[in-house]
Amino acid sequence: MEEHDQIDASLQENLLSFRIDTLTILVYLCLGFGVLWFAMLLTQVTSNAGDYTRSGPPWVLFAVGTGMAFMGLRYNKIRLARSAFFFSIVGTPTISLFLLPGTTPFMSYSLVLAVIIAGILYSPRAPFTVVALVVVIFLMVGMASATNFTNHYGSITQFITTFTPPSVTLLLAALTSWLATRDLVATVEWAMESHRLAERRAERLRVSEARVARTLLELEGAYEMQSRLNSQLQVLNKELEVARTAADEANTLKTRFLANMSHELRTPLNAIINFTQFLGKPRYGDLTARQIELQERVLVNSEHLLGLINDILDLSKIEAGRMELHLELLDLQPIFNGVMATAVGLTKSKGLNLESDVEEEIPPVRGDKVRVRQILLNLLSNAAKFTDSGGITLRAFESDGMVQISVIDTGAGIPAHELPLVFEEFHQVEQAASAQRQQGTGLGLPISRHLVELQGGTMWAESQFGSGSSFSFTLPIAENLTPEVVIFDPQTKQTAL
Amino acid sequence: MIDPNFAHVLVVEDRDDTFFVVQDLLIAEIGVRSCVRCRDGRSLITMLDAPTSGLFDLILYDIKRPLRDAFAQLPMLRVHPKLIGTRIIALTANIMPDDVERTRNAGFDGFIGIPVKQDRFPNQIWRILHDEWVWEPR
Repeated sequence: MEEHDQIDASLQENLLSFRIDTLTILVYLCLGFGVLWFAMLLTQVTSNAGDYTRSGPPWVLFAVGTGMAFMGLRYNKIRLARSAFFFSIVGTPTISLFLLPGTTPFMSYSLVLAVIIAGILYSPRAPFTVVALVVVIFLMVGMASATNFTNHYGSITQFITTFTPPSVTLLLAALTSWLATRDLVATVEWAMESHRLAERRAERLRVSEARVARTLLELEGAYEMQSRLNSQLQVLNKELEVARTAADEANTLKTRFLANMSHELRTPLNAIINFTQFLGKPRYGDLTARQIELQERVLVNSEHLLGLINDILDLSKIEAGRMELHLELLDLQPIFNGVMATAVGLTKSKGLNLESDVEEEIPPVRGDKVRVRQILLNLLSNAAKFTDSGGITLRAFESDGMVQISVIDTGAGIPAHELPLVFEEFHQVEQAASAQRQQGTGLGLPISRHLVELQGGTMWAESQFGSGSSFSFTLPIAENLTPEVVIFDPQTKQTAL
Repeated sequence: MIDPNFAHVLVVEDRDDTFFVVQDLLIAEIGVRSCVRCRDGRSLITMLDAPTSGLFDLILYDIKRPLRDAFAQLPMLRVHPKLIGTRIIALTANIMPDDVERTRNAGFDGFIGIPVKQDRFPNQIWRILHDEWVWEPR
């Protein structure tokens, strides 16, 4: 806002300086006009001796007014110069009308000049004010004449005939001046408005330019930051590459180590297990009952050792993403029959009930026959291990696009705080009978869960401590799957048909 | 297809214990006609090249790490005139999936993992001799 005021002020000044130029010309013109007028006065004075003395005051007024205007212009007192000049060109004819009736037509018409100049020096409407002022002056002159104070103009009729034409002329002059200057002022105002608008636009442009510059600067900063981050990223990538290579190497070494270890352990175990079994064969001679007992203990322990090696291998394969699954369309009932037949051997000796609660016409699932059997045997042998009385139930039913298979026992159960841990590697639930602990590897459940998940199912455990547990898993129903063998792709960890 | 009782079996095995187990099972449990042993692939070729050697229905070949020996031998065995129609089975403790796959790709006819399971071994041999596929690392 302040700026706009300043712009306005500067414009007013410009307008004023334009008026100064006009005023200067006018002042010089009036000086010339004054000389002319003086010459006229002289001719008037010659015709009427009384006028000679009376011609002094208007002349002096004119000289003083014009002179002050001249000085004002010189010393840059513009308003004073304007007022003085205007006062002289109005005042001189007025006083002349009072003092020198002989000059009346000329003086009254010379006021036209004042009217037009008012329009130029002040405002478009100023001429009308001047006309009103002049008419008042005329009336005063008339009244002065009527009261015989001067009695220059005789009767009223004579007064009217003398002053009406100049009054009308003055009015017309004012009208003309108004029409002329109005357009001029409107043009000037339009110019001012345009200028102001342009200024405002320029200002706005400056603001947006500044904003653009600031944005550019910020962009530059961001770009710099980005390139710095990029180079950091490159460094990190390189480090990551190194780390990955190292990890790959370590993984390869680990796999090779496990493969070698497996081979080296299997070869002696082959001899141990088979020789121990040979001991039980009649062709190698009879053993005493105590010896058979010991021979069986050796067999159980060496087979446990073999199971442990297999589990470790499975787990490392799963962890390395190299578990091979032969996914196919599985009919579950024969698998259930097979594992139940095996489980009977585990439950019979402990006097446990073994029940099968399988829904009729259970749909086929997608899975690896060997692995499903492995999972079921793991669950059943766990159940048999931790159940001393009651029974074990194998339950299977269709549920939500999956077949849910549960192994439910009436065994010791698992404390609530241990339930989430049963699927962790090498975790074994605390048992009262410590002798039972050595029977599990602690890897069966983690492996089972991994295998279930690789086959697209989920596995979980529920338990009531003291009254039994149930381990459940699901396998996806795959009725539309063509009975071709699908192989688990270790690279993408996805099944490929 | 051949009945195990008439089968002539060759075992390539350098470990005495392992050979003892396999031989005992083949003879005592399965009752094969004969069971001959070679310590390695080279001696196997030498033996086959000898005019006194007979024909074999089945070779159980123990593949050792780093596996080169057996895989290098196999093509030679395949074209050997005395081994036409002979089933060559890998009998090995290298039971990693990669090993099984490589064995399959090398052209073996089957795979039996070590340790040998006494309860399954007779059936495995029976099936092999009846031209069924046996790929059982465990």
